[in-house]
Amino acid sequence: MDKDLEKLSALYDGELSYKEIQEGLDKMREDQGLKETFHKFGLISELVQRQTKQNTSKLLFFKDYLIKVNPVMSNLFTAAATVLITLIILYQFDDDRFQVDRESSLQLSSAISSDEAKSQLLDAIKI
Amino acid sequence: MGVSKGDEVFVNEIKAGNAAAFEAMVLKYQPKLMSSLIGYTKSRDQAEELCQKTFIRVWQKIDSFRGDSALFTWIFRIGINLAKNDFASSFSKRSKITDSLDQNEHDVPEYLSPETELIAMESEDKIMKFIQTLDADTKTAFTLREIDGRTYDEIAEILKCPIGTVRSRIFRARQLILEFINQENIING
Repeated sequence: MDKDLEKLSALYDGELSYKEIQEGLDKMREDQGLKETFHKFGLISELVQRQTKQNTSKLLFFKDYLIKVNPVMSNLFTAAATVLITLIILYQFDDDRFQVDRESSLQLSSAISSDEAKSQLLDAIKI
Repeated sequence: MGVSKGDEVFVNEIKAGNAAAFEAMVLKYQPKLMSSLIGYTKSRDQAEELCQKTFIRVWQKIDSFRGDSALFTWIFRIGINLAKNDFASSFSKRSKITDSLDQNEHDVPEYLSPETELIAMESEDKIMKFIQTLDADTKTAFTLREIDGRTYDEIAEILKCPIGTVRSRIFRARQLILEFINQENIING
């Protein structure tokens, strides 16, 4: 039975040989159940195709809507993104700069207060 | 896009007077035509009437189908033209159309039931959700066929599997959907 229905499904899709199509049509003529199933394949197909079309239409509508409001949206997004990127870059650079300064000053003060520096200073005074 | 291989056989058989082929074509395309005509007329009764008239016209005019477009496109065009005539014509003109169709109606094979089954709208989401639950292989083959309109050969090429596997996967999908529809009792008249 399943083999017959599988053939019916292929007949629906037009994927049988000429001879098989003839056989399929003959079987359908005699069997009301096969006719009903064939019709239901049509119902399923219609539903799936229509739903897909509707969903695609909704997406296209949203796309069109975005294009229409694009100038405003685009300006807002561009401004926000610019401010954000600027802040991030500035903060990053400042942070780097402060770190370098802090390190330099620490190095400088440790160098000044080191024993080596003191002895070099005393030697210079002696001269 | 021209006529598909399967529809070409149907058309040739109908041209040769094979009523079974005509009936199969009606069963295949009636849901799609009804849905389109309901969308156009916004009336189920009117759409049903136009649907019947359309298929009568198709039977009468099948010899003029040259296969330049898909079969359904040609059928749909006939349906829309009949609908336009219905809208635009005066009552007398409408009567003429009906009369001219009625004159030949006895030549048309008996197949058309005035009741057209459609899937209840509130159940459509249920079915679409059910399709999402199908296993990936079955769903992919079914989707490539129904939505992309690919042939079995093309699907076999895409999925790198034998054509017989494609055929059984598509059938499996339809079988499972039908079982779900029967189980949920969601086809109405």
